[in-house]
Amino acid sequence: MDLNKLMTYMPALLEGARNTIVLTVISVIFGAILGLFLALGRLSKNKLIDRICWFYIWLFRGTPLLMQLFFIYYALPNINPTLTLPGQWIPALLALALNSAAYLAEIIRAAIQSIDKGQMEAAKALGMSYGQAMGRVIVPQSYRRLIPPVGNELIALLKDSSLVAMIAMTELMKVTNQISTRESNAAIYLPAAVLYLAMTTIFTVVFEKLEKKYSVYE
Amino acid sequence: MMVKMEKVAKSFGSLEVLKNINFEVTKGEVVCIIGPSGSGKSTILRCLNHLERITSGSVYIEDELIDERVSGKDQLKISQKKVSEICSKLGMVFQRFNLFPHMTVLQNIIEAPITVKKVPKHEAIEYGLTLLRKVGLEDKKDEFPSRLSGGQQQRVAIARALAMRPKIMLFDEPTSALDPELVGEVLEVMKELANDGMTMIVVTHEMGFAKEVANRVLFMDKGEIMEEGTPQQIFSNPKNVRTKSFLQKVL
Amino acid sequence: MLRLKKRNFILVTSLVVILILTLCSCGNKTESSDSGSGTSDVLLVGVDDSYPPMEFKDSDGKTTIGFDVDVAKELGKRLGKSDVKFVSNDWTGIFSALEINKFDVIISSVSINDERQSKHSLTKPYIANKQVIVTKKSTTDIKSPDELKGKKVGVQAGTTSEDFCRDLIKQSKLGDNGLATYPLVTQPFMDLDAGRIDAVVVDIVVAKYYISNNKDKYNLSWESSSSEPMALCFKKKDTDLRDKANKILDDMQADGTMKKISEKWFGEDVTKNLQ
Repeated sequence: MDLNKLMTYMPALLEGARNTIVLTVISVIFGAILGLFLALGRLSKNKLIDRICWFYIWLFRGTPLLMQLFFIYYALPNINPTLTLPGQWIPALLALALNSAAYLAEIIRAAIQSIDKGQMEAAKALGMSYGQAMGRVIVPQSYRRLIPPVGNELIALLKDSSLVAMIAMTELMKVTNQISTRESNAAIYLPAAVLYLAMTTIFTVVFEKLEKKYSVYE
Repeated sequence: MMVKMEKVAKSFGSLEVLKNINFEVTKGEVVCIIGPSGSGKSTILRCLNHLERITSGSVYIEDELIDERVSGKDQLKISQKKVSEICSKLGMVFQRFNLFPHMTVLQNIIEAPITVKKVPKHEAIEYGLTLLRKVGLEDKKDEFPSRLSGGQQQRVAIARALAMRPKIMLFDEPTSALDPELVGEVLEVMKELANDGMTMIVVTHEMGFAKEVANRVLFMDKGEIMEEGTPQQIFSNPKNVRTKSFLQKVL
Repeated sequence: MLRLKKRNFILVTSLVVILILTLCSCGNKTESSDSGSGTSDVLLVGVDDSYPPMEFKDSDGKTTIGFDVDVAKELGKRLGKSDVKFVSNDWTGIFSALEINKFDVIISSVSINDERQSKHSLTKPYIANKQVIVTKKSTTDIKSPDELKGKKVGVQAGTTSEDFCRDLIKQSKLGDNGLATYPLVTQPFMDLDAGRIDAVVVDIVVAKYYISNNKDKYNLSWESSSSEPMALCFKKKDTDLRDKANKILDDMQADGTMKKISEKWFGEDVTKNLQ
């Protein structure tokens, strides 16, 4: 594939790459919010809440993401037409966010549990409630420990997001497939791989910076 | 009566760590608890502010019943709000300081007054700086705890506990984790506090401090208070055999 | 810490806002959104747009073009729709996506078979298709399906090409392990290049496109004599819309529109002599 041809395809590839980034970042943000609640649920003294959160994590970590994606996209409307999610963005984001929440929950739980028990005791001895202690003392300390594994999860998710090409999302993988079939030539996968690398590199650098920033007190 | 424990027992599973504990502390009194490790000294303090729950017995703070249990069952409904209120009356200093590492020295001190007692921020800062001056660390207010020596950290921890304006201070082996040359500065602060009339319960291995500062000394062994008296009585004229053998080892 | 936190909060919030704005803007641009079973003003057409020259991307990598695309646009116009939009769905799942309202109709080289007849509403045929065998130029020992025994054959999964090969397996003309299926139609061609398979069974329209793109690489070794008609595929319940489309297809045949589109993409009229 010559350079001129590559340049004419570049806008399409870049648009695909942008969709990949948007998908990944939004999924990770919602996944992290849900993951935090799941993690707190797993640490809860309430047995029922703990069980429910355990079940969620078990389900979403134990089945392939592609299957979850197909389930949300194709199977839900079959179960009941009112469960049909509009368009491609929402089912794709939902599947990625629900899936990453399960992984992030375990990451967050491990980070919270790694905080010295004395911190919770000190907070309680000062009269803080469990919620105040978590919110002001424990969770903020877990940030720094969270950054490296969350970075890993983000990069994994960025690459896994290529699966949503299967449900008609026009992201980088799909665009690459379309160009490849047009050209009856697989060489386009190489520049697409470079774009994936560029994106993962950006995230790696950002997370290294964040880690440094949150390490100031250590 | 500031603190009173009646027939308090505490077990972890089948392990009895406290057996039939009865003791009182009056206002302004400094009580030191000594004894071998594993004798249940720290557990007494931790049962006062609900870090541990007693198995049976009753606990009073300022003549108010704050915990009453019979074989692990609550006899008294106690709300989270109430626990928080009790905790603000009791300042606790831990062996390992337990400062919040992600906050500066001043933030450590003003955190609880602001979030728990809803003290306006400027007031909390003002009082926090007063306390830092008192423990001699005003110039360290913007440092993170990791930049301080152990002794300095423990002095900050004392200031942090005092920021809640507690009625009673509980010290759980406050100098055990310190290098020997740093012990003095912490004891100095504690002495000052005692001179100011603070009611204090101190679990310690510093016999010198107990002799000098305590009004009363409790010797504990195997979950029981074996002997109780003035420092004079305990250190110069112990009656219990176990007290005698313990003191022989440590003095 | 307090100041640090506030700044982070602002940072994260603005990030989320920017992302949601981009999301909304691309949401409007892309073909997606729920369809109201053809009642809305826009005709949503499901395509597996990796199937040249029937439906594929133009040289900008973005615009959907092809024989079916022109047919769809004409259909939309004659149905009185203001616009025709294309939803790019992988062949895997394209029929499920139709029935769950992701689009109004599949115009994407849908060959007529009994299963599709019973599960969806198919129009009358609009183009004649047939199965062909494509091999490398150097291959000389495959001249008909009877010579596939012991060979490896590749097809796109879920296509009538796959059905064709399954029949060969039933007739013991092809070994049980002789069939490889792929999600995309290009992939069997790539495997043919790599030497992992010996032949590709594929629709003639696609075969011709690939052969003309790679004149010195591939051979059209065999062409089925029975034609395999293709139809537009509507939802099971949309029989009214299907009947309207049948009428429109007749008109397009009669006034020469079909001929014109066919000649544009194939250089010949493949839309006549349909049963």
